[in-house]
Amino acid sequence: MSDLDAWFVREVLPLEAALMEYLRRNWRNASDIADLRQEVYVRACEAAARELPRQTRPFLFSIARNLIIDRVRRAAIISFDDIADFESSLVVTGESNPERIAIARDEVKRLRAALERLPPRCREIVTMRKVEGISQHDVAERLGIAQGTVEKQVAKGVRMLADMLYGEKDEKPGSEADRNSREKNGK
Amino acid sequence: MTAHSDIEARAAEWLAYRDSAEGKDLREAEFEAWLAESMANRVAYLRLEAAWNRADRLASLRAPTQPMLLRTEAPKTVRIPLYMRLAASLVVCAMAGAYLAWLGRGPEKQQSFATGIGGHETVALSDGSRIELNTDTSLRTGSANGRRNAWLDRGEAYFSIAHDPAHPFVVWAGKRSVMVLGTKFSVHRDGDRLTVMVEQGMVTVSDGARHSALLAQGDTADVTSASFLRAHETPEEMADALSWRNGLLVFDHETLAAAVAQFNRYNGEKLVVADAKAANLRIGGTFGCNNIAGFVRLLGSAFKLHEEYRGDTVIISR
Repeated sequence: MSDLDAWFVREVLPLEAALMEYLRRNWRNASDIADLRQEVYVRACEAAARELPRQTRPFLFSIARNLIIDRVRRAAIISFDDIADFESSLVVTGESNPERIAIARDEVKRLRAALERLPPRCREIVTMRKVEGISQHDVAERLGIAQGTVEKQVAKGVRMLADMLYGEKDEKPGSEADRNSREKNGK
Repeated sequence: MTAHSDIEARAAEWLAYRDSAEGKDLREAEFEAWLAESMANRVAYLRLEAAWNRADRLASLRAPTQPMLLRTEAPKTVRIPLYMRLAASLVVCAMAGAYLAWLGRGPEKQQSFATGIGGHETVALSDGSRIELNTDTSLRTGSANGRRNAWLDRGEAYFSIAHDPAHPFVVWAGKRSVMVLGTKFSVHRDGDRLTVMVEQGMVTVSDGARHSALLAQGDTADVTSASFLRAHETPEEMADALSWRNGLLVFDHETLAAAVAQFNRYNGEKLVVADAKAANLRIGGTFGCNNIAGFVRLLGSAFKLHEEYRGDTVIISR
C-alpha cells in the first residue's frame, strides 16, 4: 500500500461520518450524497498525491465546500449575488462544531452491531468468513452453494459494512473523540 | 456526476473475488489496471478494503474450540419420558456409525427427550454437546443438511454445544430459532415467550420473521409475538438465572407472585397466593427448587402468612 493509500485510510476515512453530515446539510438531493462523497475523496487524493496536507480535516472540508459550490455553479441558474449569499450560508461543521465523529470505544461492539444489520444470508456468510475464518471455498461447500454466490454475498456485505462502519456516527457519549473535542475546546 | 454506485459495485466484486484466494488466479495485472484506470476506482476500492480489514476483529468472537468427542450412544427412536445420561468422564469410542448418522450422512434420526415436573436431566450427544433439560421440558434432536437441530417443544434447556463450524447447531422454538456455532446458552420456551441467555460464545436469535439479533456472552433476548427485547446481564445475574442447574432458585427482590410462579414450574403441588397484597410482597433468597414446605414455612415466619393444604394445592394468605 502506498503512502497515499495509507494516508487515505488512516486520516480521511475516519472523517466520513462528519463529511456525510456536512454534505447532507448542504446539498438537498439525498441520492447524490454518496457520489459527492466519492468525488471529495477523489479530489482529496489527487491533491494529496502532490503533497500530503498537514491537517486533514480542514483540507477535506475545504474540498467538500468547493465541490458543492462548483456543483451549484454548474446548476447555473443563479446569479453571482446568489452564489455569494449561498457561499456564506454553507453550514459549517467541523472545527467549530461540537459534534464529532465518535469512534466506538469498543470496535468489536461496533462491528457486531453492523454485522447484525446485514440481511440474514449475507450475515451468515460474513460470519463464517470473518468470525469463524472459514475459507470462501469451504463456506460454499458447507452451505451447498456456488463459490460465485458466496462472492456476491461478500460483495454485498462489504458495501453495507463500509457504509455502517465509516458513514455512521456512533452517538455514544463519553467516547474518545468526544473527550478530545471537549479538551480542545477547553471544557 | 460519476456513477459512484457502479464503481463501488465493481470494487466490491474485485474485493470479493480476491478475498480468500487459496490457489485462485488473482488476476493481478487486470486488477492493477482497473485500479490505475481512475482515482475513483482506487478510492472506492480502498474504502471497501479498509472496512473488510476492520471486520477481521470479529475473529475475537470465535468460541473457543472444544475437543470433538466420540461417545457411546445407543440410538433411540422411541420417545422416552425420562432420559438421563450424565457424562462424568469422557469416553472415546469408535462409534463412528453413530457419529456420522448424527451429522446427517446417514438417514436423519430424531431422538426425543422429556422431563416431568421437577425433573432435571442431562443428555449427551454424540458430537460432545450436552443439553440439560429443566423441569417440564420436551425436546427433540436430529440433523439435516449439515445442521445439528434441536426442537424445544416446551420448557427450558441449557445447551453446551461442541464447536463445529462445519455443522451449525440450531435450536428451534416453533418458527423462532437460535443458531450457534459452539457455545453455552439457555433457551426457555413458555407459551408465546422465548427467552435466551448466553453464558459463553455467540448465538443468533431469530423470530422467524423480520427480527434477529446477534447475542454474545452476557446478552439475553426476550421474544414474544409483540416484542423483541435485548438486554445484558452481569455474570452474577446470569448465574442466578441459571441456578436451576444446581437445583436452586434464587430470588432477588421478586414479588411473591413471581416467585410462586417459578416454584410451580418445579412442583406438582402448586402454590396459590390468595391475597392480592401478599402477592406484591418482595422476597429474596435461595431455595431448593422442590423445597415447597421450607419455602412456605419461611413465608409464615417472615411475613406471618398462613398456608392451607388443600389436596394438590397450598393456599397462601394473610
